[in-house]
Amino acid sequence: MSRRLPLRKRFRVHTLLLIALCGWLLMLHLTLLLNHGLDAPSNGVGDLYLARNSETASANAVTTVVVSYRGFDTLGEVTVLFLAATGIGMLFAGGLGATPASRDRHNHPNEVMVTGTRLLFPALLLLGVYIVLHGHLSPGGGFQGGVIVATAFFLRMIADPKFSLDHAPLGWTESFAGSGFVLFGMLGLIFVTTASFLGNFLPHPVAAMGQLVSAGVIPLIYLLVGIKVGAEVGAIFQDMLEADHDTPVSARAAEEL
Amino acid sequence: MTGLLAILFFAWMIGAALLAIRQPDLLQSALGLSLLSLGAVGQFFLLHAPDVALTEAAIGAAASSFVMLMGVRQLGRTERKELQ
Repeated sequence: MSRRLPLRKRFRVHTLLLIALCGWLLMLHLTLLLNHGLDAPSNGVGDLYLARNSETASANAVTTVVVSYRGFDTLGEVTVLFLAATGIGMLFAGGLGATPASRDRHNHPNEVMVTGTRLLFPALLLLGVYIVLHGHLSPGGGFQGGVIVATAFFLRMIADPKFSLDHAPLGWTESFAGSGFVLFGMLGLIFVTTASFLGNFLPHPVAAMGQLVSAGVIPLIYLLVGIKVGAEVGAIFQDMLEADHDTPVSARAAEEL
Repeated sequence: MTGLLAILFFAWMIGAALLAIRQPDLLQSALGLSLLSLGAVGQFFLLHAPDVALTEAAIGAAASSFVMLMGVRQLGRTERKELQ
């Protein structure tokens, strides 16, 4: 067909192609899920990690990969998160020179929010700390638990206008945890028995697998990651809330909400 | 059983995505995104990846929808056409 199609028609063809692509991906995913044996062995590197997992005495193989075998990547991820938090802080504070906006103390949240948060805050805090501490035993770990703790504090910030997180202690906590992470990595490099960055220099007997105190250095590093992630995400939430209370349009929007 | 649940979660996710796109009320649109993440949590769980499912639940369903809600609070609930 050589004649030019109108723009509207061409756009529709693109949409159809996009829908077809999405449908094909859905079908692919479905066939993978339904026909591919979930426990069938593959020739990837994952099986190698699973076979060697017992040497670290960590019951959760994913944590072993994240903290031990690919620990350097985790350090990079945490750094990326730190840069993102810094960028958001600068963006919402309106540049480096601006003074932080004071929050509106007269904006009262409704009763459902206050009561629900009073009920949820301790449970969420407990769940977050549990997930961080049991990262080497059960699914989850520093990243997930840290975000859950930050979410609990965010609910608290919304429900109680007088409650706010100070940036200075958050920054100190976050730097302490980050330095601890690097320190543990360096210690692994120093000790002769491991002699590698993030090497597991603490004793980690396989017999203790599945206990809370096991897997040597892995739970300690994941605890530090949890503290760092929690502080950073908490700082992000605090920045957004401050910016929200600062703008004049927010008063009208908050009433609408 | 797993396949049936997977298809159910797919239907859930497609419904939530439609809600997020079609809904003129931005608050309910953000809610649709949160529900979409909740469907993804089920998918990851069915694929034997509880770690990823937990991450999706914490970040996709909770934290990112909080960020969306802060945006809705700043911009207002109604979808303004002149912004497009």
